[in-house]
Amino acid sequence: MAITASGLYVATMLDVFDATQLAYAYLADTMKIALFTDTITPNFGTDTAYGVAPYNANETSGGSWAAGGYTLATKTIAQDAIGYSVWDAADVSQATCTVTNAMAGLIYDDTLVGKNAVVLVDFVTAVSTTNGTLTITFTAPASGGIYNVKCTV
Amino acid sequence: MSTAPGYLPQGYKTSKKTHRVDGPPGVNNTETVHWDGHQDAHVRAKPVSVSMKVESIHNEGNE
Repeated sequence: MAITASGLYVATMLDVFDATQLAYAYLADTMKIALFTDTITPNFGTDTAYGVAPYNANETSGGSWAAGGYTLATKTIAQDAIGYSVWDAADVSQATCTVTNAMAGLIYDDTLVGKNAVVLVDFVTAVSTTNGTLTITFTAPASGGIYNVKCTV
Repeated sequence: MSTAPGYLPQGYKTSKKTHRVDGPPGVNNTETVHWDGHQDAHVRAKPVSVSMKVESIHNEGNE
């Protein structure tokens, strides 16, 4: 039982391309990042959504950090200099929050009825706040953003 | 009171103290404890990289 890696959720990606035609629209939709402790064990092949196991328990929130997470702002999708498509957003900064042992951030589409999971960001080391500011710095788009995809032939 | 660099009188409280959360090299998450007890945290997230390999491309073009 642990978070050992970051990753994209295959089920969501497949639903975008297959007959489901999932209307995942990163820029237009409300994307949230919810925090989870190291108690969960993600499975990037089978996990589907926020609110569905294992993301229906072991979420950490408190103070101004609400359950369900923080809404990402200033979202971008762009191609970098070496051909990667890069998804990015403004850094997270939430004051007066109390979260305990946050080990990863689940980014999901809050606009979709299914709250489909998109990507899990593994913090590698757990962090806590006490009525303080939680900052999550994403790398600049040129360095990879939140997540990036490269298609090769 | 001494004005020498680095000197702090007994009982003096610094305004905050930041420590790196123990972890593997290259991970630099930090927590900052302030004098009044509140605590901030800073996560430096690494990007998630995925590669997709296209096995073949069939372009029918315009007919």
